[in-house]
Amino acid sequence: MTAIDSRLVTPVALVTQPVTGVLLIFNRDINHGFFAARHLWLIIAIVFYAIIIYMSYIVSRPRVRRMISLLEAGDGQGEEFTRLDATSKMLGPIFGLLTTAIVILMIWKPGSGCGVQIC
Amino acid sequence: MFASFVYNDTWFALLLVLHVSGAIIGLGPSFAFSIIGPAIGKQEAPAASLALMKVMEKIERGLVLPILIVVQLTTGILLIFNRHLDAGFFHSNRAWLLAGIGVYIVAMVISMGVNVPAMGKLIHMAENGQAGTPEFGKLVKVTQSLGPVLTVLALAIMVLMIWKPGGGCGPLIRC
Repeated sequence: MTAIDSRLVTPVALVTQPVTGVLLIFNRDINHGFFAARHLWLIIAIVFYAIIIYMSYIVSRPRVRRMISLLEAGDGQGEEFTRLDATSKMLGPIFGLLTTAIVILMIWKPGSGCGVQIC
Repeated sequence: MFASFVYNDTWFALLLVLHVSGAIIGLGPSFAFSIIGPAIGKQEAPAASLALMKVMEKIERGLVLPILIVVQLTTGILLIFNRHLDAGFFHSNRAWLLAGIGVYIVAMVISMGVNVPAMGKLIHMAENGQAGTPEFGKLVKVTQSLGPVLTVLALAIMVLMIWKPGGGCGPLIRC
């Protein structure tokens, strides 16, 4: 999981998506009137993205690393591990829901006036 | 009823959300497999290798294949009719779509015909203490060599479906 996180998820989530996202905003001239109501779909999606990044790197990542160190120390049945495991299981569906919401917002673009068209 | 479905924007939005979500969920793990696959042979404990193989097989059978076969196929066909791409389907400006479907079929055949059965056999052999045998090593090489192939095919599908080369409308959705 840590290998997937460091070699796949992190480079894509922290480099590819923000860079291409910002470039697409300028390419489509969305930077003009960025905070207008018609761009609300994009602003909400960016907020959801920021929440995912925060929860992933500030909340989830340290816990997963702690779980790995507990397992390596042979303490995979203790109270702390069980508590951390419960948090990880709770965060998974939240990430899934937020990601789904971002996908829907980015495709449907509700309130943009252009539907699913690129505009 | 069918006439009201063609070019219906509500259906289009719904189908597109499902199709793109399916692509993310269904194709995403193939990129993770390119990291998990090589890690199988590097584990010190055989139990760790077995656990990784079981995770890969469970994701493939429980998530990847059902989505790629059911969701992508169904929403893909419905999108073709919704966008009226069925008219002049074999025209050269639909070559991107035909190529995308062709690559999808190749990827499905490799995945269902070779990769998943090989992974199932590897798990069976590992559980029965045959992890060090030459046949086991051969199967590991097969799955490890197919991983990058499936990743390249997944990338090709994504490029074709977004860029639509030769479609005459670039990445625009309605054309």
